[in-house]
Amino acid sequence: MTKIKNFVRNNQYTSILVGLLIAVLALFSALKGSAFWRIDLWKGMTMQFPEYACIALGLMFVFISGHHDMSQVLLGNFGAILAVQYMAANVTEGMANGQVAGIIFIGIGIALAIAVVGGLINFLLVSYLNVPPVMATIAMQMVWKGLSTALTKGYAVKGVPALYTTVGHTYIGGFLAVPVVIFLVLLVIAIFLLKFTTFGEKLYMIGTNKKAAKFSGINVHGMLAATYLLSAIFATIGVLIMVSTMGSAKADYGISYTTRAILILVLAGCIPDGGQGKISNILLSIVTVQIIATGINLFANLNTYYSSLIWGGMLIVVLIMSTQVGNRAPKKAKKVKKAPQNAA
Amino acid sequence: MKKIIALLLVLVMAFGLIACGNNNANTDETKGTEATKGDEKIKIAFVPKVEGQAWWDYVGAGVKAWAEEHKDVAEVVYKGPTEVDAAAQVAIMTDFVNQGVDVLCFSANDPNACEEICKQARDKGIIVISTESATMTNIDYDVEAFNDAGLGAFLMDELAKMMGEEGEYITMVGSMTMESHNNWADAAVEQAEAKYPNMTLVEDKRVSSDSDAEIAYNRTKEMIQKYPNLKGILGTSSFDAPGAARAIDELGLTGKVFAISVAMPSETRDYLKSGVLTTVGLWDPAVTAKVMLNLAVKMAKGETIEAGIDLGETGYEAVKIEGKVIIGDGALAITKDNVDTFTF
Repeated sequence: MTKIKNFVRNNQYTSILVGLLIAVLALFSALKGSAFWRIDLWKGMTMQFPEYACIALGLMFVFISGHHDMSQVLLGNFGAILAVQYMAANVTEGMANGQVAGIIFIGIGIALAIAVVGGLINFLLVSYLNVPPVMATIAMQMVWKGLSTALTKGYAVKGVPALYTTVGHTYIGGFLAVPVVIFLVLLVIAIFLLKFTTFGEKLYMIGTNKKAAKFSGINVHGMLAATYLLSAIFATIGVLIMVSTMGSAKADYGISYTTRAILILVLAGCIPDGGQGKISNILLSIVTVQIIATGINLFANLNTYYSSLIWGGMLIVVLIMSTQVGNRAPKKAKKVKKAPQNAA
Repeated sequence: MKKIIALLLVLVMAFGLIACGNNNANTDETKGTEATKGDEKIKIAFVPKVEGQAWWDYVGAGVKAWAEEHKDVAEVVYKGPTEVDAAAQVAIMTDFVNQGVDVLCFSANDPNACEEICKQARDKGIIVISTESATMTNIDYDVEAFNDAGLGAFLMDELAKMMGEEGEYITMVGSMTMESHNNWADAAVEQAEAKYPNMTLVEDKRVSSDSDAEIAYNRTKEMIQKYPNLKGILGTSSFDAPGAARAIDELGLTGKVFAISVAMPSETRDYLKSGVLTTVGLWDPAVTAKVMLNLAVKMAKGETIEAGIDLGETGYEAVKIEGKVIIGDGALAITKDNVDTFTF
């Protein structure tokens, strides 16, 4: 009991999210029971969340640094379109799997190269030209969308190799979805960067106080370049997972993921004000959001607007709880960078 | 201790919040358990392109009316994304497939993007029926209100009636490269050549309205100037008739020049009522939806589907089948008398 008490005291925000998750699970179990606990439904969820979870994870770096990136998904789509065009043009029928795999890897390389270009452009606009991040990245969002549309006349690009979609839909050992594995790799990278390198520490410092960070000798430009690159690359990987779900690439696939990623981060207490964000909270947030999105579809008479309503409501609950709880116990706070609730 | 109280409070609030969105969910829960007791009810999911838009709300109302009528046979859920996003739509379809519905009905935002999930659905033995997605391969059937030739002939018949079966006419398309529009126009011209010898096509080239009512308006004025005896404008895109009507109205040519195209009731209601337009073409999307549901029941019961089958709605008493596409005779003349029955 004391252990739980201590955990709750030290991780108030996390506790709130755990509470919410339990509440959501309990509610769906109570109302839908066996229909909710269908194995297929849960396996389906693991196939669905990695797409936007990768995007959210990328955006997390940007938010921690106190910046914003609205261009992620559309940049990813542009890269994916070029990748699929390349794959479609080079894969011919009867090719050996090994050869196809090679072409797929080159395609993925093309998409990631575009991500690097896009990330650097965002960085140049924001960091060197001092354009406000939201505006710069919205402008870039339009540029990428325009380029994609011009390139494809607004149509979907077909011809994703069967190998690509098959691998994307494989459950390793019958339960572990390939997209989840990809997400886990990105997660490990994110944890490593934030917790075990000075990059993480510097990032939180820049987000908390950019000027102070600069005067303490941190290369702010370099840090921001890395941040925007991470955002673009992670998001592009999310989009590439989406390509396997959709079997094609298009200028505007996944536009709703931009807001979904923001929802996940804000719900997790990672706000674009900067300096805040904890990976465990973001994971809880991703799980909760996916369970609600899928759970809501079990109710015949609830239309999908209710999920927005519930997400909005949850956000309010979490914000109220965190400000109330957070104000009470600042003395127990550990390192500043790990206690997002105390920065407010 | 306080934190535990806080946590409890969160749980209570979350419960309350979600529960208040769920008043009607409780009732469908009881319905659900009844269904499992009596069993054998066919579970049908209907996924529209989007919810909260007049056209699809009208379809939703039709689907719900059908569900009420057939509640002893089938259990229908109507749910789509809240924004026009292929990814969001596929996510909802995925949830339904994993819930284990018997039939999946949908209208794809992007047919390519739905192939993969439809393939999975069919692998699980789910019946897949689409509309406005005739190009798809991983479906059982696609239901269309008409084929290109049927609609073209229909539009020409209606225009001929207005023109008294004689006089000069032109054809207008949304874009030169729009395949369906050009097919309709070709079929219309063929119909005129076969049935209306006194009608002459004066402009060999198709006039393009660029799917823009403003351009349709300007092009109509140009054409009236170029051909003083012009009597008919056979439009195709939903912008053609409203644009042409504005030109006819401004030039005071009501009753002398006639226009028709496929059009939305909301955009032509005023012109129909004032008499500038006599008739526009359309199909009733709610009827198409009901046909899909009737088809679903027949297929779930194991009945053979063959050309000439009666799918239980006006215009679909003896449908044609071309490959996987079921074609009705569902083109509908919208006039001042029935325009108000449409809520979009």
